[in-house]
Formats: sequence, structure tokens, C-alpha cells
Amino acid sequence: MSSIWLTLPVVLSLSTALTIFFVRRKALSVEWLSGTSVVLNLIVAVFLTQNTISDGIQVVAFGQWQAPFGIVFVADHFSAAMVMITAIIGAISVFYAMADLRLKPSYGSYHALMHMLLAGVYGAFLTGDIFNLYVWFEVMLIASFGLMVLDATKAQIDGAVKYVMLNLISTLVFLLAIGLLYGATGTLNLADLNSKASTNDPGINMMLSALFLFAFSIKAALFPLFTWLPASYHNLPSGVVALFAALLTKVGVYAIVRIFTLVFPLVESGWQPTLIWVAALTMLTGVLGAASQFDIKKILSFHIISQIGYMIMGLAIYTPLALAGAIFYIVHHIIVKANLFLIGGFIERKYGSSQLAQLGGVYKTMPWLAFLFLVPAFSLAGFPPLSGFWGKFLVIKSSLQTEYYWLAATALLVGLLTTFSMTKIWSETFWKKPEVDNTARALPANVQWLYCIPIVVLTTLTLIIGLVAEPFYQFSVQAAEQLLNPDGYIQAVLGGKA
Amino acid sequence: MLNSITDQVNLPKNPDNQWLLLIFPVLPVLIFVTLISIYTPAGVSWNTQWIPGLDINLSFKLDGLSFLFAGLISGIGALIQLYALGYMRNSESRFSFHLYLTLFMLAMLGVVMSDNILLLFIFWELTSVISYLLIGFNHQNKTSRKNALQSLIVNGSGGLAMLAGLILLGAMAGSYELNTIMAQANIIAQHHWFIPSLVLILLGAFTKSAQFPFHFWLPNAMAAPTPVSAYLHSATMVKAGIYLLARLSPIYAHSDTWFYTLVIAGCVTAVWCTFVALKQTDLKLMLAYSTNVALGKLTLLLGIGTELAISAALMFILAHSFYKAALFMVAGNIDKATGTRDIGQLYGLRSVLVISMVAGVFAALSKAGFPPLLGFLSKEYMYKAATEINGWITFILVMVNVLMVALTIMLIARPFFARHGDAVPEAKQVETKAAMWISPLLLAFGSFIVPLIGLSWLDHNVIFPGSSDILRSAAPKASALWHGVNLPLVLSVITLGLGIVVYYIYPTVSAFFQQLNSLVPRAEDIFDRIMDAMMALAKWQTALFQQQKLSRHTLLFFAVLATVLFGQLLSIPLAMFDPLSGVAFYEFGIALLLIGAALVCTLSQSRLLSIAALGMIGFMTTLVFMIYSAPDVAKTLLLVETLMVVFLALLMRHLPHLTTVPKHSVKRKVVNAVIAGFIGVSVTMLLMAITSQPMDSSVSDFFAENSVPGGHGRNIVNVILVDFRAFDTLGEIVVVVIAGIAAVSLLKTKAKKQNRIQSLIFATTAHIVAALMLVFSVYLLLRGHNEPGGGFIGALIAVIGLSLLMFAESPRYVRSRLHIKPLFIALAGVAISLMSGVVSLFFDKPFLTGLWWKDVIPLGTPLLFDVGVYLAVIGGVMGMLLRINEELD
Amino acid sequence: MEIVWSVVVGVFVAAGIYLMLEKHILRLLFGIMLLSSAVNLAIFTAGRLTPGELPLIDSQALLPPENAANPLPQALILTAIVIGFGLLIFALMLFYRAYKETDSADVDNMPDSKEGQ
Repeated sequence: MSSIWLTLPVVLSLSTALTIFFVRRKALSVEWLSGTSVVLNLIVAVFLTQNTISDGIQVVAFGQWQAPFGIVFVADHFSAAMVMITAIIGAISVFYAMADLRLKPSYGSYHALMHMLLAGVYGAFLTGDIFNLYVWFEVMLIASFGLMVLDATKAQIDGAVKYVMLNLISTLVFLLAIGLLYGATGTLNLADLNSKASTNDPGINMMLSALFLFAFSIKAALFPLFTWLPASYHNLPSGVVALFAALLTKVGVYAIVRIFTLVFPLVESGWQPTLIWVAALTMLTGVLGAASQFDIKKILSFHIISQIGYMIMGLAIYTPLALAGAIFYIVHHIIVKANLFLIGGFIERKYGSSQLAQLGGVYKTMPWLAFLFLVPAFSLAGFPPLSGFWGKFLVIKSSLQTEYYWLAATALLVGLLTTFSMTKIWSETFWKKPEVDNTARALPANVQWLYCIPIVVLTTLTLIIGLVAEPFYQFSVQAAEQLLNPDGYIQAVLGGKA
Repeated sequence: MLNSITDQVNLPKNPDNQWLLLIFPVLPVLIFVTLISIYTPAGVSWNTQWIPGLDINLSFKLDGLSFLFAGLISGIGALIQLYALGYMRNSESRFSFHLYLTLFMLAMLGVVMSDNILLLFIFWELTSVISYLLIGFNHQNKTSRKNALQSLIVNGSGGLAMLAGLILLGAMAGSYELNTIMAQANIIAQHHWFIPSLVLILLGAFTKSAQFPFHFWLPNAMAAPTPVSAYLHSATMVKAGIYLLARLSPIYAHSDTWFYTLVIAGCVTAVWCTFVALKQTDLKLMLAYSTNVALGKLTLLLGIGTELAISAALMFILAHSFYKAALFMVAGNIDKATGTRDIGQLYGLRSVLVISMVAGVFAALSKAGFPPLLGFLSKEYMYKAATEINGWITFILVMVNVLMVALTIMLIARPFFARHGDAVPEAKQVETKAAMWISPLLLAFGSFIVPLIGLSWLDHNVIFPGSSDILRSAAPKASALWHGVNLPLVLSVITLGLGIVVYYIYPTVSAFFQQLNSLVPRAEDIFDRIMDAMMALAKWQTALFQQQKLSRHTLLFFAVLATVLFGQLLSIPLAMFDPLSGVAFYEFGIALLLIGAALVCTLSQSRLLSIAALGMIGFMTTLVFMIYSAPDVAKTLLLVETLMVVFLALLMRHLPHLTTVPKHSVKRKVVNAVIAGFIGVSVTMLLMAITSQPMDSSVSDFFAENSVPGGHGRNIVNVILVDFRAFDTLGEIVVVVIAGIAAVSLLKTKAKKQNRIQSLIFATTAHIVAALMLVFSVYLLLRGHNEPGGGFIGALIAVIGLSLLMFAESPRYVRSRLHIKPLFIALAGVAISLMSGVVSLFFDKPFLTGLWWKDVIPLGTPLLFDVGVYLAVIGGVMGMLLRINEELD
Repeated sequence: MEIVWSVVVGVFVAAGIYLMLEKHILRLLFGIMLLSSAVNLAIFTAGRLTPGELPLIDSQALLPPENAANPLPQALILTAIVIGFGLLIFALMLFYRAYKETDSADVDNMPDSKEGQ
């Protein structure tokens, strides 16, 4: 039964989380459970992706209640890619957490909550029902709340208050939007909404889509609703923040893409011009924010925002090439961003601080780390032949072709500024001589390995995606075409009743 | 043999390393030899697919133009690697230095041999990155880091502009492959993207080749070790821009924009940098600025674009690479020997650095244009080309060359031949290591030998094919050193002569230019100011968005929502609203009460009153749900409201009065009210518009129809919760349990306070009531599938019962009565629900399919699911309640 | 009759948002609760209000009575109420803890750690 691959990510993660909660005091059991689970999930994700490529869009109707009545999970190319990358990052984060969070009192709970978070993310990426999407968003949200307040210090509580408040706003508006959309169309199934929503009055649709856009923009940290991110991310422990940075905002981006291709196709929804402006402003404000910071984690947090702008830019332009670029970019960015946060976390563990003023001379002490940093840093900045270049190339090319010249210029400028702040980290952390007395802490060998293997894996992935770009490109193009032309999706879910 | 070359002192290194280092000069030699052997003037190409979907392929071509460059890159590369073996002998990171140089060489070869413009771009950017790493090689030094960054930013911005230009070019031609682009030259010339792409590509070329006003990064790159300066910043990387201009000439060179831009830029660069060069006193800076001048001249020549100009450019590229690299290496030797590069402090080195002197003199003669060296050849042709065009250009060229001659003489005469009485300078023995003098000597001799015996080979393999690559119609005549006495020769003589004159009045000239320069703003300062402005902008906007105050964040968010909604409001058709028919009096009443309660809650200054208002709202809402036939919802809401009031009551005493916190200003309150009002109005209008249309009830009808046959239940709502849409419910209990865990982890006190209501009557009744409620809760659970009830309601009733017990006795009492930790109860609940769904997987059915033992008794997995829900909610909520009670007084 | 309740929803939304813009943590909490109620009511209203029959099927019948209320929004609201309850309690605990840490109930008085200079 091939639908098992659609079910397993969520079920496996949930089961793991529950079991870990039961044994959370025994670190070794926790680690075995956690590690095995993510490895299994990796295998599941591979099978899922393979099935999607060879057999087309995968659908499972839970409880055997067909869509649009029951809840369905759907894996098209886009969702499969997201599940795959989540599995990879999940595995990486779990192993990294074994090094970084080991000494925390609530160590076991960290693992459990991470699996809960992953369950929510998987659910969000796979679901084909909008209320179900809300439920998985809530699972993700509450798991992230939990991770934020575990063993929290005062500073972390302060950050958590802002994070919770502003995300609650997102959640409430999302729920309101769902209720109103249901009232207007009578259905909750995404594929069904494609036809039913188009019969609505366009004014109503504009307001409904406004509510959705607002709610998801908060989650995705778009301009000007991104302010919660820099206020809360930098206080988190590194083992956690990599997971947050890599995944949480991307779920928001995913939701925007899904809603504005399937339910309210962007060009008819009237939001395209706004989205273009938002993309440009997001790119700019994010990178300018990064340029003014002097702490590795803060710089990287602002960069998340800036890079989200590129993804939305791809969506906003709305051609197959642009959307392919956005999808490529999402995958590339998750890998690179997680990697950079992991490296930052490792440096912090070794040197006791992530502030640039306290660091220096890492090039001499750990030259291999320097190389491992250079790759994702320049990939983020978009230097060829690394993965970031291809993503940027696709979106810039599409914006030139569609004559959005200012948008292309902004994207290029932001690339330059990204280079500027990446080299700032490089220069201050690796090159310059440390200004304060700063000797590296020695770590036990296995801890060091657990820190470094994830970093090496991610760097290798970045190199592969960059150098062997063709298959990834083709995949992205297919995903984009599926999104822009949802008939295949609708057919698979509703079985020809479209 | 290696030892004699590097004259190794006993460094504590593994001797094997030394042999390894020998690879580095050998590799470029191999490449050079390969290139010469496979090259034919007709051109050699090789390609393979890389990313066919994007039309970016690994296409390489070795034609005349690329052969010239590739030969220089690999040949001079070999010599530089050899030189570096000696120069970097004492450096800790010498291995990485050589590695970087090799990587750079490969990237540069990629640039000049790419037959696909995007592939070219990829290598182009790689050269920028490696240059950054090399300039910052002495990374402990702040200036090195700063200048490395500067070069990266300047080159990077040019590169990005160029990317846009190349994308446009590819789009115009329909392909990124150069041969296709060349074939489409006519179509491209007519396209409206012609000029924009030209400008963008020029930005790339000008930044890389340090044309005014982007020239300043090159002298600053002298912070790099001398081998880098000799290789990248004179012979190879900076010529990449020139290469690109040459390569794309067939597309763009016919346009006026090309002509004027290149000629003006080239002239301005040459003149400006000459002036600046003359006030320098550091050997490397003098050489750097003169490289700028040379690049300006090359740009000028390519701008002119005639047959002669192109031949001159090709020769000049060759000549300049030879002599400039040699001069840099000589300067490096002087630096190593004396420890200084300041020309004011150098004298009399001719006895100490003999071979360097010989090399230096020959290189200088070539640079000055003394026959029969390469430099002379190229200068002749330059004058020929210039005189063909325009008198002004010729004049500028002559002037620049005169000053450059003076500079050159200064460069060599002073350090080697100047005398300070009979004093012999203190200098280290540098030339004992052969690596330090072989390379410059070879290059110097090359400048001398090539024009004498290599001209025809050069013509056949470089000049002729190269020219036709740049200018399709070119058919140059054979090159020769002697063309009889003509204008160019005269000009050359004048140049030399005047140059010598200027040399003698050098100090005056230098001082003059010092003064001149101080009046004019430096391009670098403008660059710095732009960077500072950017930083200031960054700080300002960050401060703007990064409020410390949460209320500002929320204000921003809601303001955005208000704008976004209110703007659309007018597009809702107004004719849709139903008249207020059929509304009963009591419905109005309840609505008014609700509105009133909401207002009370908003405006009240008392916590108690606000909580009471909220409670009222809760209970009124319950009534609403009852009126409109939603029994399960009503009951759940009632119970939840009760619990909320309990929680709030517990906590209220520990949170301060509402008056302790300063209020917003009146103005701010008005703003808040307006925003809130906008949003409220929008939601109302939207809701009214939506509900005025009939509802599509197909989905609900399905539930109604299938509730009994498929779901085996008569309470449709419950069937939806545990069967039709069970996955939602599963997620929901997960949320509740995690919320419980997270909330509990926020209160980590060890103290267990005892909140008891001290009253015997209460205690006794509490026990009885609690027991009854527990029984009732199980009853509700079991009947929920067919009557109002279900897991949630049952659980909440149980929770209320247990809280009564908790207040009557103590949290500890309740915990012991439960036997199992609430957390585990909750987790068990979730696990049971999960398992009930997993069971169906074993029967090859999708997750959460309801399996019924229906023929015997109506028992099925959805009922089990409901039990899981029951336990999960009890565990989660009780966990929170118990902990809060223990925490607070 | 949905008009009446639409107005109530609007008032709740406005009141809730106004409270969420305030500075005292309790008022923020009240605002969240109000907004939550508003959204629940909105879902209910959007599903169309029928004072008619309960969505229960008699033991003899296979279908609910003619004017039965729409069961789907009821299920959605139930889920939303419970999720909201969980989130609300968590928020309450968080605010309480924040108050304990900073001795101030003013959300504006809770400093971020110092922004990068």
C-alpha cells in the first residue's frame, strides 16, 4: 500500500515523541529512539519522493473517507521535496542536539518536542485540507513554544512573550479566515476549493485572501510582519534555532504558495503587485538589518528574512521558471541556513560567545571549519557554482524576462549586501586576531564529531546541489508546472470529479 | 635539487611536504605545454552538457584570443609559482597560498576558454572570490582585510551587473553559447535590450579591469603578498575585463555607445592614474598605478577598435604581462632584501641584487618602449592606431607615455643606481635562492627575445587569429619592428626623450601632482562614503523595526491588517444584505448583552469586573450555541469557560492590578480604537456578505447521510470528530498535551503549596460530587457516539470533579488518587488514539479507518479513539491545574 | 439573522484587538480570549444559523431531521475551542512567569537583550 509513505512521517514522529516523553529521564534511551526515528523518517521520505516522481501525485484518504469529505494527505513534487528536506534537516538537528543540548536539564523533552515539531511540519506539508493545515500549524506552534521555554532564562522568556503574542495573532486570523472561507464555499478541501472559491464574488475573495496572506506573512516573516523573528530567535539555544530557522518560516512560505496557486490563483486574486513590493522590501530590510548587527546569530536571523524575500519574489512573478526558482531556493536555503546556524552554534560552544567582538582567529585554530563556513556563506550570497547561485539566477532571469527590472536590480543589490555581511562574519571570526583573550574550549571527541558531522553533511549537500544542478532544476520545474496548472492535483485528489 | 632552489633552512616540517610543493609550478608548465600542442589557429573546442535545462554547458574553445590569454595565465603562472616557492618560504600557510594560486589559475583559464557566457560568469566570480582570499592572505592585518573586502565589493557589484547583462544578452540571442550569440549579432543589434545589456556588461568589465571610477581597488590590493600582485593584479585577473571586451566586440563594438564610452573611460583612467602614480613613493604602488594606466590604454585601444588598434592591444597585453610581472618580482626581491619599498630610502642595490638588476633593467626598457623590446613593438602599433584616428588621442597617449617613462626610470634607477656617498646598503642575500631570480630574468629576456625571433610565430598563432576573433573583418599585415621612419617612430623617440627629461625634474613634477591631487576628491573616498551611508541606513531602519516594546509590534501588525482589509471593503457589493427578518426578541437580547459585556471588559479598570465580563460572555455564548442547536459545542464551551474562570481566579491574586501599568496616551488610544474598529467593521461586513448567499451544503449532507451507515453513530458531530475528521482531533489532543507540558515546565517550583478550602462541609460534599462527576464523565464518554457527549465533554466534567477534590483536599491527595502522573495519563491517551488509527494499517487500510466489530457488538476503533481523547484531555488539563495550584498561594 | 451575530462578532473583534494593543499583560490575555470567542462565533455564523433541530439522528432513522443544524462547523468550533484553551492556558502561564521574572506587568517594559550596537 503505497499510501503508507504519506502516513508514516507524521505517525512515526508522533509515536517517537510520545515514547521519548515516557523515558525522558534516560538520556541514552532518548538518543536511541530519537536517532532511529529520524533515520527511519529519512528512508520514508526517500520512498515518498521516489513514488511521487515515478507514479505521479500521491494521495491518501484517511479513514477511507474520500475527498472532499474526509481529510487527505497529498504529495505532489513540491510537497515531496519539502518532506524530503524536512527529513534531512530533522535528522541533522537531532544529531546536533545530542552534542549541543546534552547538558540541559530537560534534555529528553527537547528531543520529544523536536519530534512533535517535525510532526507538525510534515503534516502541514502533506495535508490537502485547510482546517487540517490549521491543526498542524498549531502543533508546530505549540511545540515551538515548548522548545522556547524549556530551561528558559529571563532573556528567553522575554523573547518568548513577543514570539507567542505575535504568532497567536497569526493563528487567530488564520482560523477566522478558514471559517469565513468555509462559509463562502462550503468545503475545506484544497482541491475542492480551487473550483468553489472561483465562483465567489471577487471582492469577497480579495478580503479572504487578504486574511490568509496576513496570517501566513507573519509566519513566513515577510515585510513588515517579520519583527518577531529577530526579537526571539537569537536567544534560543543553537540546537533549537537551526531547526526553527530552517523550517518554521518555510512552512509559512509553503502555505502562501499553496493557497495562492490552488485556492486563490495569484494573478486573479489581485495581490500580485502587492506581493512584488513585499518581496522587494523583505529582501532589502532583511539584509540591511543583517548589515547592522555584530553577533553571528543575529546576522543570520536577519538573513532568513532577506532570503524569504527571494522565495516570495519567485512566487510573485508567477511564471514556471520563477516558481521553479522559488522552490529551488527554498530547498537550497533550508540547507544553507541550517548549516550556518550549526556552525555558529559550534563556534559559540567552543569560544563561549557568538558576538563578533569576542571572536577571532578561528582560521588558524580550525582551518577546516573555515572551509566548511565559506561554502554555505558564499552559497547564501549567491556565488556560482554553489547552490544559491542557481536559485538566484532563476528568479533574476524570470524577473528580467517579465520586465520587472527594478525587482531584478533589488535582488542583485541584496546579493551584494549579503556578501558584505557574510564576509563580515568571516573576517571578524576567522581572519582577525582575537582582541580578547580567547582560547577554545576543548570538547570530548564524540561531542566534537556530533557537532561536525551534521555540518559536513550539509556542506556536501550544498556542493552537490550546486555542482550537479540539472536534476534538481528539472525537479523544480516539474513542481512549478504542477503548481501553476493544478488540474493534475485536483484530478488525483477528487478523482476526476473536478 | 629542490634544496638548492629553496635553500631550505631547518624548518620543523615534514620533508615530504617540500616535494609536494613542487607540483605547484609543474602543473602550470604541463598546462602550458598542452595548450601549445593542441592549439591550432583555426581554434579548438570541446564541450559537454552540464545543465542543459538552463542552456549552461561546459563549452570551451581555444582560439587565438583565448590562446594568448591562456598561454600567459599558465606560463606566467608557472613562473610565479616558482617565485613563490622562494618568496613564501617562511610563511606558515605556504601550502594554502600555492593552492589558492593554482585554483585561481584554473578559474582564470576557465574565464578565457569558456564558450558559454554563463560559464564564463561562473569562473569570473570564482576569480573574485579567490582574489579576495589572496588579498586578505595576511589576514591578521586590518588593512589587508579591509582592502580584500573592498575588492570583493567592487568586483562583486560589477559582477552582478554583468550577470544581468549576460542574461539579457542570452535572452536576445536565444542561447548562452557564444557561437550562437555571434551568429545572432544582427538581431541583437536591433533589440531594445542592446544598450542596457551593453552598459551592464561594461560595468562588469570596468570594475574588474579597474577603470575610472572603479580604479581604486587595484592599488589597495597591493596589501597582498607580492607574488599575488605580480600574478593577479597585473598579468591576469585585471585583464579579464579586457578579455571580455575583446571577446564581445563582434556584438557591441560597432555601436557609438561602445566607442565613446571605452575611449573616454580609457583616456580618463590613463590620465588620472598617471597623475596619481607620480606622487607615489612605494614601489608596489607605483607599479599598481601604472597597471591602471596600462589597462586604461587597453580599453582605449579596444574602444578604437580598428585593425591596427586591435593588433596593438594584443601585443600590448603580451608585452605588459611580461614586463609588469618581472618588475613586481624585482620589487619583491628589493623588499625582501632591504625590508622597505619606499623609493626614498633605497639606493645602490646594484651590487647586492645583481641578477634582479639585470632583469629589472630589461623589463624597464620594455616598459619604456626601447627598441627592440616587446614594449617598443606594442608602443609603435599603439601610436600607429592612434594617429589614424584622432590628434587628441595621440596627444594624450604621448603625454601619458612620457610620464610613464619617467616613472619607469625612477623605478629602476633609484634603487639600483642611486648613490649615497660610498655607503653600501644593508641587505639580505636574496639571490642565493634561484627561485627568486629565475622567473624575473626569464620574463625580461622574453621581452627581448620574442620580438627578435618570435614575431612570425606570434603573428601566425596569436595576432592574426586573435584579431579576427575581435574584429571579423581584420586582416592585419605581418608585424615588424621596423617600418621605416614614420610618425609613430618619431613619436616613440619623442616619448623616450621627453621621458628622460621629466625624470630629471621628477621631484618638481611629483610635488606638482601632489598638490593637484589634493584638490580633487578621491574615488575611494566616495566609495567609503557610500558604504558608510549604507551602514547608517541599515542602523536606522533596524532601529525603526526593532522596537523593544511589544505594543508597538502589535500596533504595526494590526495597522497592516486594518489597511489591507479596509482597502478592500468597498469592493464588496452592498446589495447583498438580507433584511433583518425572523430575528427573535431574545436573540437580540443576548446579542446586546454580549456586546455590553465586551465593552465592559474593554473599558473596565478592575480585574475582577473584566473576568466577570468574560465569564458572562462565555455563558452567553453557550446560550447562543444552545439556541442554534449545537449541544456538544455548548456543553464544551460551558465547561471550558468554567475552567478558564477557575484558572484566572487562581492566578488573579498573583498578578498586579490593572492600574499598576502606565496607560497609553489619549492619542494612542484613539489610534488603537480606530484600527480595532476598522478591522471589526471589515469582519462584520465580510461575514454579512458571505452569509447572505446560500450555503453549499454538499459536504455537510455527506456527513449526515453517512453518519449511521459508515460511522455507526447518531451524534453526527461526534462522528465527525472521531471518524470523519479524526486526524484533526488527533492533532488537537496533541496540542493540548504539549500545551500542558510546556505550561508545567514554566513553573518549576519545588514548593508545594496547599490551597485548601477549609471547610468540612465542603470537603465532604466535594468527595461525593467528585465521585458522581467521574461516573457521569464516563457515562458521557460512552454515550457520546449516539447522543450529545463524547470524549471532550466527559473529560472536562472529570476535570471539574477532580478540581473540586483538589480544592477540598490538596493537590497531593489528587495526585495520589490518580496513581499515575497526569502527564503519563495524557501521553497514554494520545498513544491510545494513535494506536486506534494505526490498527487499520495492519488491515491494509489507510490510517484512522474505523474498524467495527459490528456484527456482534457495536464496538469499534473510533470509540477507542474517543477514550484516548478522554484520557489525554484529563491528563493534560489536570497536569496544568495541579501544578498551578502547587505553585501559587 | 446572521446579521445580528455578524455585528456581535465585529464588536468582539474590535474589543479583542483593542485589548491586545494594551500594555498590561492581563489585558492582552483578555484580548486574546475575546478574539478567540469572536472567531468561534464567526465560524458558527458562517456555517449558517438554524435554530431548528439538533444534528442528531433518531434511533429509527438514517438521516437527521429536516432543519438540522450544520454539524461541520460545530465540530470545527469544538476543535478550535479546545486548541484555544490549551494555547490560552499556556499564554497565561507564560505571562505569569514573565511577570515573576521582571516584576513588571507591562509588556513594554520587558527588554529584549541588547540589540547589536
